[in-house]
Amino acid sequence: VSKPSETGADTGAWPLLRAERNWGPWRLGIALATAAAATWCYLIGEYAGYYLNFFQGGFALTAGSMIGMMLVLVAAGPTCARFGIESVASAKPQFGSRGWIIPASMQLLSIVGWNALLLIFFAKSVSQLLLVLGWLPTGLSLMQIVPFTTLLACAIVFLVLVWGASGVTHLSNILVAHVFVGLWMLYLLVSHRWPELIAAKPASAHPDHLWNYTTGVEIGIASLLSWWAYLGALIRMAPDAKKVALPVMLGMGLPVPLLSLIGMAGILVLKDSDPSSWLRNVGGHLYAVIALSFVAAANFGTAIAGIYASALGLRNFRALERLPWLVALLVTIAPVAFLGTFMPELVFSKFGPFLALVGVCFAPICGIQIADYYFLRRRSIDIRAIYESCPGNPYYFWAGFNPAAIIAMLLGIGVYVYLLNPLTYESRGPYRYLTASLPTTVIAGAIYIAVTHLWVMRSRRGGYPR
Amino acid sequence: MNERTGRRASPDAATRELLDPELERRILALESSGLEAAGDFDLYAWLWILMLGVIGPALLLVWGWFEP
Repeated sequence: VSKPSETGADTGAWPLLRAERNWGPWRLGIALATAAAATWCYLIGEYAGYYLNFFQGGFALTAGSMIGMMLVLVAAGPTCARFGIESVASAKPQFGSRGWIIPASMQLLSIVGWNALLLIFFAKSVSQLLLVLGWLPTGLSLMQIVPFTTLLACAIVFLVLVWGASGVTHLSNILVAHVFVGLWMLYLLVSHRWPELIAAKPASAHPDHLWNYTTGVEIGIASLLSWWAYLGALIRMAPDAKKVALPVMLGMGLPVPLLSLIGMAGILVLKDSDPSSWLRNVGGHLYAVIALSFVAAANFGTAIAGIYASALGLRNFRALERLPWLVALLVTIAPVAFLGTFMPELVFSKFGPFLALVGVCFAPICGIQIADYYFLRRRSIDIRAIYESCPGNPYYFWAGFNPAAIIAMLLGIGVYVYLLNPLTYESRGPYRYLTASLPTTVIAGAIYIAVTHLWVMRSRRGGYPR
Repeated sequence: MNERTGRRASPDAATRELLDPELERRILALESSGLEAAGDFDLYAWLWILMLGVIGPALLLVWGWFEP
């Protein structure tokens, strides 16, 4: 039985007790860094490299990433770290004892979508590695072997996560080496092609330079806001909120822009952001093997953290709460395995826009959580009410849903899409001065406060202090 | 209302939802330990957050803007 106990509490969505939260700052930082560094770093660097040169892209991405990480940490961090709960449970005081299904859906879609992509990337890297090493079975093409490798990757993720948080941390201790391999690859590219790198011009730069710079910052903020889905599952293993700030900011916030420089340098100099493609030209087969191993390890570490966070999020559903951990894991991995095995090309071609739209939702969620925790509840959270769902519970609101959160969320998404279309990157209004994520976060928070004062508090709902 | 936790001061056992005994044990342990209020970000945590999430990015943005 997977019911949380003294030995298996980390596989449930119930709060962890102090004795069970034994990750120190280093252990937490390593797990966060392993989760953060993946193929998406090249994609993030590639997008920034379309608009900015290497220096300005690096500065803008790093600044944006650290701002995005700060927003996520300040929004979900205190509740998760104080009570040992994951991100979805931390959103119940804002969205309601049934309304939490909204952030839970965002978490599930984001993590399943991203992890399907990452595991396909993993499978392609392993398949290419077999090809380079001459170990590819005769009669099989690269694309024929990818579904099998994806399925194998899902099976390994499943086996690692049987051990819950211990599986995540043990594997992180090994896979964290890939962060340093990534920095070495960056050094190789920079040292071999420095004159070309500093002279390289971005291919799709906008005539308005401020717009390009702001877009670099926005790419950083929006990318890191997606960590909302992952953060709670990992920081709840630390004893309290005091010990999570530095590991989160340095362990999860900093590796993404640093490794994104690989993708940015690649797209600026070689017109290819994927190091496993260009490293073979720089250093031959040996470097290709190292690069492919790096890409595989990076994606694998992130997929493990993602599936773990998503499985915990699903445990908030009553039907899944008491299911054995292995079944909860299977339920989480099954859609990833299905997409990765049977329709990898469809995932590649269609999931980018879909994930961009899902990512837009995390800015309003952060704004709502910040407004609620610091300005309305003044840091008072009722841990019992997070787990009760009956009428009369402070977080029951109306039929389990908080209209203030729903209105703020919808208007926040509207503000984002008005300022910046996440699919076409067409922008309007003050985007070039403010980005899209920052005003969205602020406006969603302000709307939440206004509706709560005018409607929710007057109706004596929500358990707000008077 | 408990000022530190915002929890109802004397929850009426009759109106409480019946939770799983293990979950109930965990919630009671958290409610009685007072750890929830003590475990929030402290001054040093806020200093790191402000330095790495606000001041550092602001400096980087200014520096980056004047790069050639």
